[in-house]
Amino acid sequence: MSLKKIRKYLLPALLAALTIFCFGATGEICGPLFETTADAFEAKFPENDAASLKDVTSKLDEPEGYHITNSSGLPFAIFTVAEPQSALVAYDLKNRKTAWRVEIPVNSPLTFRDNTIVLQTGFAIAVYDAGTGALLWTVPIDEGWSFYGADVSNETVVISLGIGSANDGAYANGLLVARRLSDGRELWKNLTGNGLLGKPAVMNDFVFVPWKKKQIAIIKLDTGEEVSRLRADDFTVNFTQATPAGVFYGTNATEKNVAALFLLDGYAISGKRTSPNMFMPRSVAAPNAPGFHVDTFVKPSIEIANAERIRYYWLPQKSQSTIRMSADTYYLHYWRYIFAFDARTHQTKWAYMSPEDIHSLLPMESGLYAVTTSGTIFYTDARVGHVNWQIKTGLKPTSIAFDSHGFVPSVKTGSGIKDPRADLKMLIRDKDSRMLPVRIYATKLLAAFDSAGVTADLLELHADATMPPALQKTIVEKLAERESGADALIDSLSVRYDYLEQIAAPPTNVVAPALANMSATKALPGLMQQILDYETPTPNIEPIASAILKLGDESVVQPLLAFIVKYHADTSFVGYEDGLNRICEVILKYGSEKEKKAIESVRDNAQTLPELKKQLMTVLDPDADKKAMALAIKKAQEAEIARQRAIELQKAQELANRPYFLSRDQIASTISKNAYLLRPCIKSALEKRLGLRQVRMKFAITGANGKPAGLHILPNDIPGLQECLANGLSQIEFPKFKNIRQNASHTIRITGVRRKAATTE
Amino acid sequence: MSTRKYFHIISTIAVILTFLLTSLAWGKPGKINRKKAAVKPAASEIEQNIDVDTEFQAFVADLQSTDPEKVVVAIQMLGATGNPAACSEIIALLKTGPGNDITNLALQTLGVLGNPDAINTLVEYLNHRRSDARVIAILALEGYSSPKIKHALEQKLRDSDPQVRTNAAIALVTKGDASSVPILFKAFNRGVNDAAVAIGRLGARDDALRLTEYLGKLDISVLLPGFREFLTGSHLDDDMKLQVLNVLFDFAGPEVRQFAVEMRAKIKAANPEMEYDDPILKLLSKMVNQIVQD
Repeated sequence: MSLKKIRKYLLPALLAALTIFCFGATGEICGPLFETTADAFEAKFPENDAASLKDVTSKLDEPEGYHITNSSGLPFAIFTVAEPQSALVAYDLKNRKTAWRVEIPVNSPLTFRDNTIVLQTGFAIAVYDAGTGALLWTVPIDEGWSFYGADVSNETVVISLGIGSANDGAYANGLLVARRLSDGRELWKNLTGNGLLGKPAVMNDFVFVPWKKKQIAIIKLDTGEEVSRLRADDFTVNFTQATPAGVFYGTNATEKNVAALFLLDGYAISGKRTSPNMFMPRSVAAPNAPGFHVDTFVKPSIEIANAERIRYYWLPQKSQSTIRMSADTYYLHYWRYIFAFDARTHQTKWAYMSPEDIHSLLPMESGLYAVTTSGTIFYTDARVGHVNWQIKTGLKPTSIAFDSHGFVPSVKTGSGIKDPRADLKMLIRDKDSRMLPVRIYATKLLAAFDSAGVTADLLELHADATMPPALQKTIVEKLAERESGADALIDSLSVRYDYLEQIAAPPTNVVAPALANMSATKALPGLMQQILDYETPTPNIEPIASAILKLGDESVVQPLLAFIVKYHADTSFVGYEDGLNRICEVILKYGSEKEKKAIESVRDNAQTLPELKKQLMTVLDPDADKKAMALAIKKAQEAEIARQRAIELQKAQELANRPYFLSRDQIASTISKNAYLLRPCIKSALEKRLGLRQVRMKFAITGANGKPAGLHILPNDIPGLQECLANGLSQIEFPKFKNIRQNASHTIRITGVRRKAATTE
Repeated sequence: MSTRKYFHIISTIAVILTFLLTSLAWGKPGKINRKKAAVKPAASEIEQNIDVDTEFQAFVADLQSTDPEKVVVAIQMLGATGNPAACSEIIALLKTGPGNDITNLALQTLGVLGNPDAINTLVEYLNHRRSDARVIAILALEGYSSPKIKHALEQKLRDSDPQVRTNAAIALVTKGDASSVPILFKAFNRGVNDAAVAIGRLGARDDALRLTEYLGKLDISVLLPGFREFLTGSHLDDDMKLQVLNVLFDFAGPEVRQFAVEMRAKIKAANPEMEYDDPILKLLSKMVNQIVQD
């Protein structure tokens, strides 16, 4: 080959090799920037688009129903355990034995679906065959990333990884990776670039993954392309879940709202909590804000968080319009307790108290599996909550999944439908103080039953003096709301406090008004017994007396009068005098004139409590306040008249004492007292005429008012002096005198000293 | 116990005060009247009786006073007279519903007077709304005996006030009988520790054994007063006493040793002729010698 030919082929070959190398290097260097194999998580992607969502929902297959999926066909409970060695274990529920066990480090709760187990082991994700326990493949987790969950469908495993925090404003990045189930080969992966992803849910050809707690990205399973996106407007999205009944998503409880569950259907585009595809518990709000699923934005851990011990469990059934639950039941798990609720009425169906903490539940189509923290699995029928089947596996779960749909243990027939009220009462009486919030919750659930017997139940619970005060308070509150059960309330009045028997006094402050409202006159003997019982709390005397006031008759008068006489001066009633006062009202209403006089003598007794005295004044004379007011007004008026008379008298006396004329001295002393009014005039005159020795004034005084007028002065040629003195003199008031008018004269003498002073001032 | 002490102190002060005030008010009768008695004994006695009656009537009149101080002095004086009529006057005063201090003093005085006419009133005041009045009524009833007192005191073990329950249990030591023991055990189970004394005083063999069952479950200092009553009383035979002591021996400790020391001295003092080879004394000595002193 000639050099020319070599050049001709070599150069393009080198260029091609260089190009390939450069692309390769670029891929290595800039790989992360180009990892999105198809468009997803774009900022400007349309949200809540009806057409794209309809396209997705129309392609979701009809449900297959719930069934065992593992390849062995046996009903399995699949555990991860930490003791004695960390392991993944499948327990055969039918044959009551371990089916297989794989000892591996377990660093996340397991995910199970369609014969496949996915979990984190060390710093890798491992996928196992659930039927055999065979490891299918593992794939390492890149440094810095955390495993947030996975789902399996259509021979594909979709894994969610995250970095950063789900908190607002914090840096976060999410990565969704699809791998082939058979060999783990990566099919595609997508970075969010902004915000964490929750655990994905895979259904048919789509992945539904919650993103940034507000959105659900719907991604094509085969390409990784985002095809639709939902955005929640007034709630957060904490999880998505694919079930044979459809895809669901949900929001955790907040301070304002209880948790809610949504079916992903056409209504989802509203993004509103109130949309018709929503289901939420409509009974009493449960304590500690349980959700319908764990928050998948929280990094999963094998350490059990409180939120996982307090949550709702549910198994949906396919429904055209609304969310339907299997056996029309959903469950609340609260540590040792299980509550079953009717999904239509939200009323308690039954409640169960386990002797030990429950790890988790698995609702079935007709019942419920539960596993305790010590590894005991038990099954209960959804209708009645009887536990007649259990296995002690000895496996203490760190996480558990059941693949046992369709396997219903041969449960012995229970004793028929249980009385949910009896269940709730048993729970309320539990002595576990950790459970106080849920015991209060159970009390509210009990009170929610519209049955007259509930009143008796609440009274029975109240009579237990060992009940904590917070629980007693709730019982009393709920009793106050009762509108039925008068007989039970009346019966409760026969109970009296007994320290030895630990019987509490009945809540008469609640019972008495309720009976009065029901006009239950049959309650009178009981009310009397309670009011006369020294163990009845003093604040309760007033409500009982008020009830007696309404329901009483003349038979109550004498015992109550004796009571009043005994306690009218007793300081134990200070602050509660209204109770004694109300008793007096009863006596006055049903008693005769004789008893009225007795009450009057209590009012007039020096030792009677002052406040009671005051109240009795009003009771004995309802117009006492008005009369007192009228008396006060009358007194004020009389005082005013007297004052006017005194003034007039003073005037008359003063008139009678007036002189006929003023003497020269009276005039001189009056002017002298008011000299300050004239002094500026003289000072001004002296500036104009230094030799001024005196000023003579002549004027007239009116007798009736002592006012001077008609001033004439000498000398009268000093400019301004006449006007100034006339002005000063007009402000002087002379003593009044009997005659109409009097002429007067006064001379202002200016001495040398004064002149000097006047000039120097 | 503090309330009991308080009651006795108040009662004693009341009596002393009464004596002093009486001496002042009645012009030191010890001196003047004795002289008069030497001259005209018959006339003096009549005069004195008339004086006393007049004073009595004056105090009765003072019970109606609007001045609480006057009423208090009148109650104390009437109490000091020991006149049966004072009881009815004080009961009449109570029926008017006086204030707390006067009510309490009146109840105390009814206890001091020892007039059985007061029993019904005192039993009624066991159900007063104020717990201090109930306690005083219990203490006042200790001086009386009547079947109804026992029942009433037993019911006070059910009271909501711990002071009332404690004082009722103590009062039952003297006012109760064997039929009170079941309710006393009930109270003891509920923490009325002083019920142990009454159980020890009133209980029989089975009750002594039942009390030993609490050993190791309760503080031994709560139980020892009950055992003390069992061991010093005559209602338990010696075999039973030995059995109780043996159980106590099993729970050997400084408190048990001290208890054994006390018991040995007490039994020996009560029975000086008793020989030291008496099985009970022998066991007590063994307990004293073998239990390590703290």
